[in-house]
Amino acid sequence: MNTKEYFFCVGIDLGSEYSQVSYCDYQNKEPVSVDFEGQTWRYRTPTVVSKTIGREEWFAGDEALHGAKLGEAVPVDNLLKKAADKKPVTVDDTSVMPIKLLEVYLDYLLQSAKSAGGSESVDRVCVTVEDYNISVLNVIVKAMENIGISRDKLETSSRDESFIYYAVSQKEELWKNDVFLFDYDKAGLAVKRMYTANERGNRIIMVHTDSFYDELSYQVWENKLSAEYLDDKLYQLAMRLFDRKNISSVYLTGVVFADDINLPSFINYICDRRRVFAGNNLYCKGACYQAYAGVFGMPRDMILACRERITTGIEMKISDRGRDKILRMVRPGVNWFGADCEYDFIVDNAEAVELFLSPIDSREKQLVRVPLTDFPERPGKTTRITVSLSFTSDSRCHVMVKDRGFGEFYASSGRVINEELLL
Amino acid sequence: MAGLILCRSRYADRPYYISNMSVNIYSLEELCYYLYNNIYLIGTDLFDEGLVDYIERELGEKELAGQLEFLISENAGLSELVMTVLRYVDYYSEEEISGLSATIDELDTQNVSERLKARADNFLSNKRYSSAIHNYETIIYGRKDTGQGDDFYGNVWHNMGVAYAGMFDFYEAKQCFERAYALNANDESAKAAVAAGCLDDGRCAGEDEDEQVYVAYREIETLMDHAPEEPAYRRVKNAFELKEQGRADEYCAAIDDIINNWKTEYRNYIK
Repeated sequence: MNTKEYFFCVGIDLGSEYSQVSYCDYQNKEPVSVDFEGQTWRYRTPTVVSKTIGREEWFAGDEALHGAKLGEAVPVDNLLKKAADKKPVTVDDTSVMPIKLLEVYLDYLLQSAKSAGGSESVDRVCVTVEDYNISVLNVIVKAMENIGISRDKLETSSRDESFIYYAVSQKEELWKNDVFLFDYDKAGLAVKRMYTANERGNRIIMVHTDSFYDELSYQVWENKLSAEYLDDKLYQLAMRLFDRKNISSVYLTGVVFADDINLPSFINYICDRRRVFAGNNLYCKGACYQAYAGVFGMPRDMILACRERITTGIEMKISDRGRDKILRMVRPGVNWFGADCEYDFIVDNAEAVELFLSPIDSREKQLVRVPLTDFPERPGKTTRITVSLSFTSDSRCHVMVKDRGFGEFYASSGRVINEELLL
Repeated sequence: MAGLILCRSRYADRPYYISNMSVNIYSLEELCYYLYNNIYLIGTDLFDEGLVDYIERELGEKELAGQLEFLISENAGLSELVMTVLRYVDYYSEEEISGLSATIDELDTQNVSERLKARADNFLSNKRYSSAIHNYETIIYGRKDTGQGDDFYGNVWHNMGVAYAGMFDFYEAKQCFERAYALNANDESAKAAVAAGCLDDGRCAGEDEDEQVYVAYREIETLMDHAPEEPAYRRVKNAFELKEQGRADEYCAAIDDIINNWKTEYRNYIK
């Protein structure tokens, strides 16, 4: 547990159209959203950058749009998509790599947080994104590195994770039983249910998401004439989803729940013996809580088992000063992006690398043997191997074992053994 | 015990050069391996400021570097220095380390001449002839060890002769064997002197030679008769057979290979 007295953590909700940023520090343990004084919502800023025509001058957010409106700057949007495509973008007759655009934007968000919080440095940042895929994440990591946020200071999270961090950072009575989140945005309605299971002394926290994008699309809400229809649909849906469930709290977020909510049946039903909260910065604050947890730690018994979190621990049998021991390579409950690890071993007459897969919901461990028979035979303890685990999702792990030889005593054969694990 | 030993210290990008064996090491495990397998070749001089600095900066093991620095400042013995490294790294088992400890203790009880000879003998058995000769010369031309008799010095001369013979310097080898025989009166040294003389000037035994020399010549002749059965000889013979069969390319390749091997071996001798 970190005991830092002074710290500054930042949470970013990086959206395709709008983004939010919040911070917490030694004075404000609860996340504070940065006020952009935007025209629609105060706490969000458009995910746009712009370049002043004829000058190497960049702006981000509302300023970027303002410059574009005045005809003084060329705006660029869809930053995440462009970053993932990795193709150069032409802005004001200049070819720019998309990572540069993201750098400008993320730097703007971080500077905004630092300025609002009166901090000169950042201890940890967590970025939450809707589309959690490796292309986008790699670009975010690189862009952050370029603006001085090293990998060990950065966390990334999915929306499910941000929801969990937000929910479990409230009073325990608010998440003792199930927690529901109605997220009704331009994509349509998605309902997330967070629930906890106790397994061998651990609290395993899971999220189940149901999407109703066709049934309850954004257009249904936009058509104000169908307000009653929408209210009824939401009411019926809530009744169905809440059936025979103990629910501690319900959160409402997204553009539909941003203004005056004229959904009487639905609201009356969900407020009945339940605590209900509406707001539009849940994911952003959840990311900030996650950044805070990155510095100060989470309760050891809490294991996150939502999407993007690895639910199977990976352990390895090793010899430690002559005794058999188990080395935990991947702890269950960690995000797959960032769970990659690499260890070096000396082979002491071992014929295989033995990995044990231990799902959090089972006592049984599955043994996976990766034979080393392809490597040249050498005298005992004169082969060094590197065992690397890399993840491309929460359920797919690539194991790579490299023959490193033994310095100048025994040259490496250059051979590599690859194995895919489905967790 | 079979298994995989976790390497807890880093693998360096820049190696540490051990001039004794002309070898680079990149990790603490390699250092342990070197110490364990070359215990006769190392002295406390291996543990110098350079190694300590390397362990601290390149391998990131400040604790071990600190321990060694203290031991060096206290003029600790070889055993303590080696054991400190081996016990710090999880590479050799306690049983293996204890076994080595006994060897080092034995080395520690030997006087300087004995240790130098053990070190030189080890170079000799590893065909590091130049290094072996250097160490034998240190014993012979250094301060006379009054605790050692003629036998000891005779054996040193003999082994130095073997080293010279290994480098094809049969004249020097013959001188050494003769000096050896004068001190240890060992028939082996006498025979070796005759053999070296024979290889040096190609002279064969005459009728007038004394019996001991005559017997030595006969033994050498027997060895030479059997030389064609040696694998090294057969390789050369096979190469020449290729030439006779008109397979010029294969012949040239085989000869190149043999000569390159000889060159490599010889470079190793004079390292």
